[in-house]
Amino acid sequence: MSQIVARLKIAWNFSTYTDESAYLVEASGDMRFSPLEDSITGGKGIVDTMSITLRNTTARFSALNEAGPLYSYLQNGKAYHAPVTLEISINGGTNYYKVFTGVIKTPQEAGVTGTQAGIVTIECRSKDELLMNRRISTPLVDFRSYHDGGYNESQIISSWLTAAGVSAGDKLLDDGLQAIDWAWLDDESALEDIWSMAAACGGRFYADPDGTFVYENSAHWLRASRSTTVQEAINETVANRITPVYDDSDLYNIVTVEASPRGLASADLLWEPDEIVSVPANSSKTLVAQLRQPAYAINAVEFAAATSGGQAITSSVSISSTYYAQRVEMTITNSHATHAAYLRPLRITGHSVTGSPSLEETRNSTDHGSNATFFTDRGNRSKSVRGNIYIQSRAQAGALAEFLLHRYEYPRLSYKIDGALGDPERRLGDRITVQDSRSMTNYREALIMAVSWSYGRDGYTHDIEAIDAAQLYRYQASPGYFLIGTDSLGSTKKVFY
Amino acid sequence: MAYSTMQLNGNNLPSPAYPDGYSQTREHAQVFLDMADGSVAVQELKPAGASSSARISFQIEWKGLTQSEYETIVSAYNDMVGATDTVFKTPLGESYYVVPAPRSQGLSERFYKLAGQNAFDCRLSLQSYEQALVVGP
Repeated sequence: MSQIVARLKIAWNFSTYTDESAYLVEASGDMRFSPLEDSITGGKGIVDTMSITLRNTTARFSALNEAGPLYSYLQNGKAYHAPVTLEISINGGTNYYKVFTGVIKTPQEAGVTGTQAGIVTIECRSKDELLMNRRISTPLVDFRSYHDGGYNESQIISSWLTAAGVSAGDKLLDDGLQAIDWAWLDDESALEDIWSMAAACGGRFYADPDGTFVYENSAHWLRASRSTTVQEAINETVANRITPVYDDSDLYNIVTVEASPRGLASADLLWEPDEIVSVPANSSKTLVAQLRQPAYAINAVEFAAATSGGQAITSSVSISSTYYAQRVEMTITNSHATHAAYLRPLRITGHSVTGSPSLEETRNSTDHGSNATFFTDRGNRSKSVRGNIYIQSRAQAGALAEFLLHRYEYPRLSYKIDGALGDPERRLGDRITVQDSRSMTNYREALIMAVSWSYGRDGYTHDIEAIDAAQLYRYQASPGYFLIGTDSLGSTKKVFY
Repeated sequence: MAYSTMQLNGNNLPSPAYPDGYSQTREHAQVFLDMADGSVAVQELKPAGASSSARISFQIEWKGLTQSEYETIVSAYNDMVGATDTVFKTPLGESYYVVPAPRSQGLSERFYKLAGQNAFDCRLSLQSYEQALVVGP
């Protein structure tokens, strides 16, 4: 018999964790990757969730209980986004593993009835939630250095995470595989653009149960030990139901990926206001110039100032500017004692970065795949991937198209595993073996894509979704992929996309 | 061990009906999970820091209570429902924090006339929660 012990901690004051394990009634949660193909074509990720139920017989978690020990942290919704962790042990508390790290939303009380104790339910979100609403603008100097330094997706993601306040210790980033020539944020959610960039490179970005922000490149599952070495054998003796599933939706033998290369334009006008800007005497005004395109370089903010009567007072006006990739924040100061300053002209000149979707790469089963005969009797089916601004080169579009083709040209085999005995060590991307000996001749190896877990009166269990590992990388089993520093030129090994 | 007067939230309760008016059941929070091959896996659940997963259910029955005794029990029950931390003192003198037992009727009552006087039978179900995993609905 395994002894399941749960340890719940909440940092009500946002710094020191309080052990609330004694009040935990039940918890359930979900960690998942977007379906592999959808994450690339849609460019979206998923924020993991947890829901916990706490016993509230002492009104400890009641926001209106002024005598409660947590009152100062709960009143007026102050608990919103307090950090939370849940650890579970399956050996009586000898080893704990985190199954969730994130932040809480506002606790929701269910009042006491004659036959029911008071409880509180709290919805929680993984740490991605913190990035979701953190809007960032990339400084122009960073935008330029990404380009000039030949930054890849991992370096840019790291830079954006730093800008969002994520410390180095909370980042776990694979090496980048694609140089992204032009990348910037313009008052945008860092998370959504990181998802898009990861998708443009065939990778994934997410916050794991330990609270670390993780970027996995498109080759991660070929290299990471948890994905190459079997972590757990799941069969009919440790799960309630094992169901192999062939997904026959989205079958395509032609895949087209669009790219949006960008280039440097010649010096030109980048911005001027729609109406005359005026600044009262002896005062300052802040103005944000929203550029139509990002700027690689800004030559100058040019202006002249005059009174309403036309008398030049340019010498009384100064402008300090902060340059971002696609906006300029200006503080205009008029030091003239008596006259308002009317700025005409006021303009920003420099070199913009221009571009639009202008090329596409297509891969088909006949020339690039291995399942063309499947479509002989079924006709051609085409899939187009468009609109991701971080797909910026022909090579990148071609690599993505080929990777997607290899997924789409076969009905994709996956596994639904219901009611598996919970193991808090499980992580997304873990390699497992799957077998129900009554219906499967041999075991199959698979990678975990989603885990829905629950802890409470029905025990500690996992519902797992896993994709068949043999289908994932076409040449992984044979002849394998070429490794720099390991394989030699002329080897039969294949170059990874 | 001497018999103690039962108390609920500080209210003295009448003695339970003889001979089986009081019972308490101690159980561990064990879960039995059906596996696909027909086997059964067993898990024992407890919160971190708890010395065991034991929880105790209490069943107390009274018969032929007077109006006054009945009102004492109802008052104590209502106090428990409205209170935040209810202590139940058992006939053995042990004290536990309790809530109305989940999925029970809480306090059920029957009324009749006995020798011309109002008479009541009552049954009260409680559950300790100090080391209990499940006390929810």
